[in-house]
Amino acid sequence: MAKNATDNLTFFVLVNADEKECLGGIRDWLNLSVGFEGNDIWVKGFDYAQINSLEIKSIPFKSIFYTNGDSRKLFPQGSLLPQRAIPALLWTPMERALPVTLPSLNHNYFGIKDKAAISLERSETEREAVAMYVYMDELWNYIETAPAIRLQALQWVIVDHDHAFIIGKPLLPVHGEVYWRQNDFFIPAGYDFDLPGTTDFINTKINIDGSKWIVWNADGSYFTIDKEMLSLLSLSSFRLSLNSFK
Amino acid sequence: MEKKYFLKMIQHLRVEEQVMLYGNLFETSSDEEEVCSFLQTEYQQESLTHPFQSPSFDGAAALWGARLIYNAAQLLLYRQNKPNDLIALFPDFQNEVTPSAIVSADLCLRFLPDVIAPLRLIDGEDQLIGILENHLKIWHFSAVKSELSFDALDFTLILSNPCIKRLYVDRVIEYKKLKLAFHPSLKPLVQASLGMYADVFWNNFKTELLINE
Repeated sequence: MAKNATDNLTFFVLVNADEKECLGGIRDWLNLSVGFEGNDIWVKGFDYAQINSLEIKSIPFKSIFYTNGDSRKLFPQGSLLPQRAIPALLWTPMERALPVTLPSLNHNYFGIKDKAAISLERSETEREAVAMYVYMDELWNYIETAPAIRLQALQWVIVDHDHAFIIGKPLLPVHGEVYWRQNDFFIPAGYDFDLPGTTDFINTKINIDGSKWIVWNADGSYFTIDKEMLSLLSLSSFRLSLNSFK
Repeated sequence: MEKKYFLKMIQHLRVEEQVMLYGNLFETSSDEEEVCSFLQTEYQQESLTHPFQSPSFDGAAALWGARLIYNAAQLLLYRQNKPNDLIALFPDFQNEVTPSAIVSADLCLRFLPDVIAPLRLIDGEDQLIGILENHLKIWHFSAVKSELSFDALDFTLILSNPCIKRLYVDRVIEYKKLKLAFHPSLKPLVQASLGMYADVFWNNFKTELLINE
């Protein structure tokens, strides 16, 4: 089988020293060597795939050469005529030739203007659900026939015209969204805060005196429930509330 | 001035759940009407807690129950009658016993077990106890709380009405009466009410179930 002619090709890239910064993108390619010739920077050791990669193509004002086999000549890419000889330089590995300097720590940086959005994301940790957000009609259907013992441990509040929020367990066998609890927060089951460390801070911000339950939606919005507004769930409590409500 | 002892006693009983005795007065007819309307208001309030459709109010039954508890409570303290007169003081309910009657009479009858208990403490062989328990045998919805053991309770009426059926089962669970809960008519209902949370709500029942299996 014939030998692949490109296997012997080594590519060179020539850039002006002004474009030195642009080499940052290929600094981690460890097969490269760098040589300095006056105001020019030579980089050698590219293979065919590397020279056609996006990182190389995005370097402006560069010249690409190749050399094949034993010849000491450099051919401009796409040309069969050699242009010049390989420069005799001190080749140093890429990472040594282009050292990285990290900015020193800025002690005066407080990031005051930085903002972090509150958001919820899916969580793997499983916790027990202790609250429900249910439709009034569905709750009504169940509660009219429910055993009293199932309602005993529950507290509830009417949220809006169609919905009620029930806290306590065991949960009722009613269709609805379930929540788990974290301090004063009720988070939709299956979710947790994107930045769990911020929850205490958020709580002190929106629940200053701790008198509210905060019920979060999966999209990061929330509504509050006064803790005092909750009442024990019972058939009479439900019927009386419904009568005064409708 | 009319004293209205009967009305006062029933009102006090319903509101404070305490018995106030006003002397040896078995004459109740003068304020029966007022007692009846008072009990009707009470019933309306209480029907809010009734599941399903609440049975209609049965004034005669409610009044009969009130009279029974009034007389029984009086006899706790004032006993001047001969034993034979006692039966006359506690007549049977004249009309048909219906779910409405059971729930209406229960307004007052539910306190009867609490009257029987001190009676038994005072004199275990008191004839009155037997008379009252005989009534409770028929009106056993009001007797769930007590430890009375009856051999043959009739559940056909209870099971015929969804409201009173639910109330009965709730009461059995509330007072945690194992014996009643394992009555063949009630056991499946109690089990269904507790569902998968039997161990949370009533662990003894669950344990007993496992033992009997």
